[in-house]
Amino acid sequence: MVELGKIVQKIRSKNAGPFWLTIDIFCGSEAVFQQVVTGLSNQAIAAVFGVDSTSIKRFDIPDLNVIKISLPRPETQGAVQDRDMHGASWAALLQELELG
Amino acid sequence: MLKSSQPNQRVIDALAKGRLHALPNAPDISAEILAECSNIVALAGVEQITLALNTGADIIIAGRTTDAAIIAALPLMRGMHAGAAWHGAKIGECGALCTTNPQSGVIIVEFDQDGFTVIPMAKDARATPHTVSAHMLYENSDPFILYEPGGHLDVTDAKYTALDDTSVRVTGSKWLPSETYTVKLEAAAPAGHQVISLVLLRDQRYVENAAIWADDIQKKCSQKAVERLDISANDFSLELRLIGQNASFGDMEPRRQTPLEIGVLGIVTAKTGPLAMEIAKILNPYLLHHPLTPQEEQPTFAFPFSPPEIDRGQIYRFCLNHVLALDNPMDAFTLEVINHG
Repeated sequence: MVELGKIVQKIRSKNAGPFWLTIDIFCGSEAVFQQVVTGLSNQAIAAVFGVDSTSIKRFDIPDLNVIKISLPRPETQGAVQDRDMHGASWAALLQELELG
Repeated sequence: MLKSSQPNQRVIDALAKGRLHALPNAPDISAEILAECSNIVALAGVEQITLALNTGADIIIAGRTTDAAIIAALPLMRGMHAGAAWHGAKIGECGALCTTNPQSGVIIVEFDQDGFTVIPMAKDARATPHTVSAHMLYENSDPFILYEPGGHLDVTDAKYTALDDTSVRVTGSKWLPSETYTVKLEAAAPAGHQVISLVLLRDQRYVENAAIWADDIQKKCSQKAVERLDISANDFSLELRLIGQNASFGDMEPRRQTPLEIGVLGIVTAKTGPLAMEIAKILNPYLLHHPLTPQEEQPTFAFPFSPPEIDRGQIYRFCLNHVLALDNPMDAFTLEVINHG
């Protein structure tokens, strides 16, 4: 078991409009890309963010060694319950996820 | 001047006529919600910007447009490759963010009949096939498809080639026109008034028990507000957010450790500004003096400001993630030409 953030180059998160969140995992190499593609399931991602796994849009992009994950924002940007206007911190939850 | 604001009634009529279509994860809407909106805008595309440019105006002040449309309009007017115009515009929207030195500011994008070329202006910035193609990821839920008024860009088959150490050529981007012309709408409606207060816990016993302390204050203060102000519990919300513990994710935070100190952010949201302020003032003595247990000396906590209440004023919520179908692109926009001297 290894933390995802310890093996990849960078993980960033940002709003894609006020209703969606998008997270980019820059793997840095083909080997790490393959490791993350096989080790990171949509179910694990859904569990971290508390959303339904069928609502996740995922793009494994070998040309960039990037995995992109987009999901409905658990709270709309700027809602009274929203804690992070630009979705900046969400990457941290994936960084700390143990890869199976 | 290109104006993008929408009268509420226009959007209410469009809803009734079935010309409003929800995008993924759109909020529920109704004529009542649309009537409550304080600000509705439509995002202009290249069609409206082209008309503005064709007026020959020296300066165009545009309201809301899509990020890419303001850059794509000119190359499209000059007959350049449509896929390249839109793709180059999307890549260029954040300047040097598509280079190795994102903070370096400015780039040149050259458009032609087959593709486009990205050339950074700063001496130490380089555009590479990786930095340019990776920009399609940015603030975009789909890295290959970009929906715009009148169609969508598909970069699935785009080829990125390094021309030298600093510039990149891109070909193979496709623009696919849509059957119906639509523009995206954005809207905000008032969602109450907010007053916040911040207090700092440094005493280790209080830091360790901050959640218990905050929950107790939340309950007691809410109850006192209902009783003293003769209001319902639905007329306001009171939240105490523990900065240093779980302010980023709340109950979704999987980690737990005791920090050195905790900032407690009290957030009062109510229907009116005076009511929010009144409840925040009821909260004040709790934040200053609330003890963990009844049988202990009254504690005092650190306020960084006095008075502690910070008025955030009116707050808003986003209420549209929809597109509006138009017969003519100018049906939802107005163009005004102003002559000076």
